[in-house]
Amino acid sequence: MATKTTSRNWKGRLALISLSLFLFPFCNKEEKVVVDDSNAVINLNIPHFPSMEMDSDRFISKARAELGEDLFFDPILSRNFDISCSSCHLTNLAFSDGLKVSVGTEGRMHNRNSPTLFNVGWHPYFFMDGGNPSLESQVIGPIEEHREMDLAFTEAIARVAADGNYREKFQQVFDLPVSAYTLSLALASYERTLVSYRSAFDEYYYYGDSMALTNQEKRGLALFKSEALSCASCHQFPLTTDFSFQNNGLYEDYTADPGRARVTNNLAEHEGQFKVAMLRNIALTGPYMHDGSLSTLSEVIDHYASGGSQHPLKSDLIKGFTISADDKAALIAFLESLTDTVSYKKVY
Amino acid sequence: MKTKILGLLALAIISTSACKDDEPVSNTPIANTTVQVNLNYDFNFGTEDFSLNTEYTLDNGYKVRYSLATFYLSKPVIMDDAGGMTALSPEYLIVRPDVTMSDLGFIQEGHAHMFNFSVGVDSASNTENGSTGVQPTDFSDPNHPLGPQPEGMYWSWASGYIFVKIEGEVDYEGNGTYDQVFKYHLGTNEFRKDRSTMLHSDVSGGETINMLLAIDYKAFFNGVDLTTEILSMSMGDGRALGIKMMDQFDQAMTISKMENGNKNN
Repeated sequence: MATKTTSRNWKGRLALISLSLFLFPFCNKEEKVVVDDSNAVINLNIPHFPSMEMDSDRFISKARAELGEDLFFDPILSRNFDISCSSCHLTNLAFSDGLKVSVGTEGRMHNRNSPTLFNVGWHPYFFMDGGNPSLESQVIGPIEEHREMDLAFTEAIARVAADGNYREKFQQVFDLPVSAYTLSLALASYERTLVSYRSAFDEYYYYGDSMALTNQEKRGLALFKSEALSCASCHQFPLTTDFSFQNNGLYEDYTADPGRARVTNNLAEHEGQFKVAMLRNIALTGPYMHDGSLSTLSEVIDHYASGGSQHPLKSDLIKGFTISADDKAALIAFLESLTDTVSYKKVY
Repeated sequence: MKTKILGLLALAIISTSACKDDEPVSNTPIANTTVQVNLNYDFNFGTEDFSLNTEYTLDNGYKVRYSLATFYLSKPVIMDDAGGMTALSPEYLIVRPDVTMSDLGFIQEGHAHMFNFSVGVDSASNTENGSTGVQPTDFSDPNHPLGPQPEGMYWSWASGYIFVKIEGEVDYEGNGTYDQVFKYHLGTNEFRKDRSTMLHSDVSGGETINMLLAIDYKAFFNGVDLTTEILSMSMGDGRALGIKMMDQFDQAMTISKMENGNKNN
């Protein structure tokens, strides 16, 4: 409950900040979204991003997103009413939680690090091993997972349907009762509005502001794109991921978490492979790696510089490199420039 | 006269409304040329009737108690002797131990040669490994079998339906204390079992074909070492045991035609 209150306060404060910072500096930009009708379709048009693909019935509206936001912060979806989605996806940490691995209901420890939810609407598949194809059906995962909210999805639907306020809102927003379809659609709609696209890097790289990055950050960007480091081969712009599955040589032994092989049952080809993480807001989303085993960006760079483990499926791109202290600082400075100017931003 | 006309009008309105309500949908009998198809269930533990949360004894003295025994049955069809298929309805069924019979709709009279179905969900609908298909969140109808189920018949993390979900406890010493939990969550496309039974029946309109699907939950444990073979989610290290337990389930199941000639009038 305490977590929820904290998140709510952050959300409230940051929403106000974001509203002012978002609308004023960019009020003439074409991606600005003005919505008069809460049920109107919101078309996200971010010039330097690919279009966000979704089925026609899964469009975003202000009303849908607000309903999803209410659910996202409501512990009604956890078995003991003690945590909500926002407990592991905090607004002030770019919707991650700052912990090595997440902690679920009754203090149960997960085995994976909480990922950012920013730009999750562009993901072609979900979870680090990519086992789920839609933002809607993935919501069942954290609700039912015993180390997270541990509530049968049917029970979650029944609880929300039993709440008169929600019942009325669902009818207003969807013209349908609370169901698996509408509950998941509301949450997914909210998550699709979590968009991060206007960092200092974006200002420099896509909006032509040559002063948006410092010289050190620009040097870091050059290193990031260099063949020697090969970061940009997988962390491709603009989303900073190509969504491929890679074994980054973190371990020799992946018994604790086989990654992609967990869903394909193909250890020979997929052991230790995880979906390439987005780097936007990376300065806010540590610790790093699928299990949060690296605490700082400095440690992450050290890992890649070392060349990682000798696992047979390790990506060919991870060969190790030499990097000076100055260059390392520049690379970190560039990564920090991927932090959005406002860490919580509504697009409606 | 006016009263008579109004009365006739009222009758016509009532008749029209009644017709609308009774509008035939697919598989609804037309005249007397259709044959009702029923699938009956008989769940046992050896020679005893089977139910959840009841203690049974295996031949080795272990006491077992099932808390879950749910499975998907899908795509039931009747094949005629020319190989023509009549799809039965519903297309997907959730079968629990308290179900005694499923109404599978109607076929046209003639020769019913064979009954086919699958245990599990067909690969086109099963969204395994993130492929396209359906997911429980696609359904607003709370009663749709592929929608969310109370026992959780879908792996959201692996994006596929759990075809057979069996859970319970075992008491090795028979001293009244349950020592170990067993859980078999069996699924992925490779696990689906296609089953059929010969009917060889000439059926006339108004008759009923009754079939019997029986499962012996004692036979399910034949050759299973319940001290070690207790947990499988069908993935990773548990895959080999999952495959074995799906075969066990398949072998514990029999399907047959019930001899009857019930009229469906």
